Amino acid sequence: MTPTIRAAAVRAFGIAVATLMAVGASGCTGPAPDPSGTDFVTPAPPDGAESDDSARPDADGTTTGDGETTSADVAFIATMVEHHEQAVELAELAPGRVADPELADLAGLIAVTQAAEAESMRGWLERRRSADDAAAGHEHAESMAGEISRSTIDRAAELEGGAFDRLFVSAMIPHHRGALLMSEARLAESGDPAVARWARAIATSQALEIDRLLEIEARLPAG
Amino acid sequence: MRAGRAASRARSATACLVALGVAAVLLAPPALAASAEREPSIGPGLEWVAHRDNPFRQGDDADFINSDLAFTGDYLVQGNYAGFSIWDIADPAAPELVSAVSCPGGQGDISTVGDLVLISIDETMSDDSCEAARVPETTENWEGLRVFDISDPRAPRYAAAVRTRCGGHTHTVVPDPASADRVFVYMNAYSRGASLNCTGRNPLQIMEVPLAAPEDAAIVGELDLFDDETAFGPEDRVPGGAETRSTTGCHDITAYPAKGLAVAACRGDGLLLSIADPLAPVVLQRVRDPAVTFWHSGIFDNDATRIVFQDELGDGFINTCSPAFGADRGADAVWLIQPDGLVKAGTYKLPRAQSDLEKCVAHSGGLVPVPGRFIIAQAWLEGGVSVVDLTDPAAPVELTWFDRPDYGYSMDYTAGIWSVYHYDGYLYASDMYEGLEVLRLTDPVFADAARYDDTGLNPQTQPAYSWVWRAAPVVPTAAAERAPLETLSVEPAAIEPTDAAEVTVSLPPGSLTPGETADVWWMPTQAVLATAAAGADGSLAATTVALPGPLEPGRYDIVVRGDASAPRIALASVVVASSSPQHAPDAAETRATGGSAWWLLVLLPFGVALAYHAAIAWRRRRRVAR
Repeated sequence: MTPTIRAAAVRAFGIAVATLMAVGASGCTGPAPDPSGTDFVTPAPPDGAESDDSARPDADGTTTGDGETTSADVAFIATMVEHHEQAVELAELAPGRVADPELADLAGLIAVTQAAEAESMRGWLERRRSADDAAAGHEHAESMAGEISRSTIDRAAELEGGAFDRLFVSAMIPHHRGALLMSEARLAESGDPAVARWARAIATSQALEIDRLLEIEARLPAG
Repeated sequence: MRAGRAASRARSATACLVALGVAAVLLAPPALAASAEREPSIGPGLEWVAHRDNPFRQGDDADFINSDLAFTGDYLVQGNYAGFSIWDIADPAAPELVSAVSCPGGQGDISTVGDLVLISIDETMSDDSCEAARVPETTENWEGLRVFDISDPRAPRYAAAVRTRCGGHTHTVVPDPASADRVFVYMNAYSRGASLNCTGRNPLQIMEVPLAAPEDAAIVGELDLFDDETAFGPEDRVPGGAETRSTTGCHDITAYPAKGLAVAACRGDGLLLSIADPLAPVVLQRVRDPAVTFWHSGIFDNDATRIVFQDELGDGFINTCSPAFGADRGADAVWLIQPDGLVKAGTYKLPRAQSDLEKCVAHSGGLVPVPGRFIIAQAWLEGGVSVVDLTDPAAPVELTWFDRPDYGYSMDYTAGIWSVYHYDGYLYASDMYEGLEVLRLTDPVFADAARYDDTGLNPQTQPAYSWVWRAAPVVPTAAAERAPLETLSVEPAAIEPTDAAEVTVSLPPGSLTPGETADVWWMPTQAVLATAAAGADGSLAATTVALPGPLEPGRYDIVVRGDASAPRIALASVVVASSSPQHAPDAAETRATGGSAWWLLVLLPFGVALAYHAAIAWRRRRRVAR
């Protein structure tokens, strides 16, 4: 692009932006944005506030609070992808093998939900790795609690009926407890608050599933 | 609230189209390509009225996303993970940002009570100030409820901060039936395990907020909503302390104070509560449903005979609106409130499959007040807004929708529309990244919903909608009861019998609620002759109405009744008399013009008959002569 053309393009862009701003200011119906320069208000704390400066950004911009993505974030997500994949692999064995109808339903839910979450987390990792090649999460790989071993998967593939159900529950409950452990380990560290929220969400959903697995386990016929 | 709002809308819309066209041509290739491709799909009978950007937005940073909405008068308050925005929506087509208050902490669930804004925080912050940073929950931290005074909406004052055990993921305002000077606030939160303050079961903490002295807000009650006392033994937590039970607290509560009921969505459980005594809620029933993963929220129908629950399967981080999840997983569930308890009666799932680049799950919404129907508007994150008729729970019908396509990539975390609510004739949708969308339902079925004049709304504190204008007023017959109601001026008050007449009615200032919609009723036929808006001073400007004829002699009532001031009425009588001395000249004049025609009608047949007989007589005489 020659400098002249580029200058013309920049000018055209400027006109377009100015036009859009005028449209926004005139209270346009439809999709025009309102570009008013926002003045943010930061109210002073109420009387008797529990102020604590220690975690606020210091003059040099450093902070002890949460902020950017940390290696703890990357390690948590990377490990959780693998952890989810194990649950999906076991849950996908359920059709044709599982006996308890509610467990069949729950296995289907675990398979589809954790596969979608793992896909989301893989995308998250890829975006960070392409943005920063140095962010190799495996350097900080965490121990994976509640791992479903290869031999457990192989054994499940050989079972059906009540025996499959019992193996499924006895493997999935510790697996989900492991996810809780991993989540709370992340929550005890600093990092991107959005990853903390994700860790909470994972802990929540897996705790709810543990609750249901325990209910099912309590009524499964003994082998 | 809506008088004279839309006057210049059509004109400015044309200007906008032209200007947008110019801008689009200039911008399309490089900068706007993405947003042009993200034009929403809009269903039938839905008009996209306005859009405003999220003033806090920092690209795709999840710490600046919008959350829930609350309404007070002409103001809309929008929660954000970084604070809150106050919008002036006096003209819904042109929301104006009044102020953006920077005060970080998710998820910024928001309510308004008079001049107060309540915002709940369930992220662990370094302290309660608006300059606090997020800190791990295993360190010293603050979370709870912040109270702001927005009597000057351009400069909100931080009035109080009340720490609660687990913060407030959401909160619910419950009025005190005994006093308008204070409200109660249910703090809805659940524990998250290895936290410094928030482990085990989180009881429902109830706060009192004195409206005149918000700085005295404090926890006044605490209640365990679950009866599984045996839960939370050592085996119910992992070594670090995180609970593996479902019953650690509630995600959201919707109160319906007029019915003394509330519905609590508590992770793995749905609860129906009696809140006849708001300080001592009673669990009427607790239900579980294998088809529901995460009880997120609930909405009553206006009669409180039905509830629709939302299931936030996957917590907003995935797309559950796909063939892989199907129509049953992550579906809304409608339950009937029967004498013997809650009975599930049907489910509804967003019918439009979403791309796996989108996050889609049932989220927050509210009732669209259509009489006799159970219609809700609900957010489905990147699945957009869905307006659905649940009147027959076994066969829900989506009426319309608003749905943007994906971003062209998958957002890292949750994204899309957090909540949507009907307020004063419009739908307001809070989009986490994009901002605020204003929509209008144009189908005539929504006429009564549009007419309903809201003066404020916390969507989780459901009002009892009444459509007073749909039933004719009742006028007392006893003179002593009528006398104080006869405030309506009518001109002329006395008329002659006629086929049609016009009269002009008016009311002095202070007669009506300022701005309310009022009907002029003709009581003989129980018909509405005119509908007008009360003035800002509560007057009714001179309104001329045509009285349906024929008007026989008698005394007839005209009534003016405002939607908000109902059941109060203003009454006047029109007297139809065959003759009245004081109006003699007018009456004579009327007779002179109208009378001649009348005589003509009588004379003409008479004349014809006379001529006929004359002709016969003449012919007879001729025959005799021959």
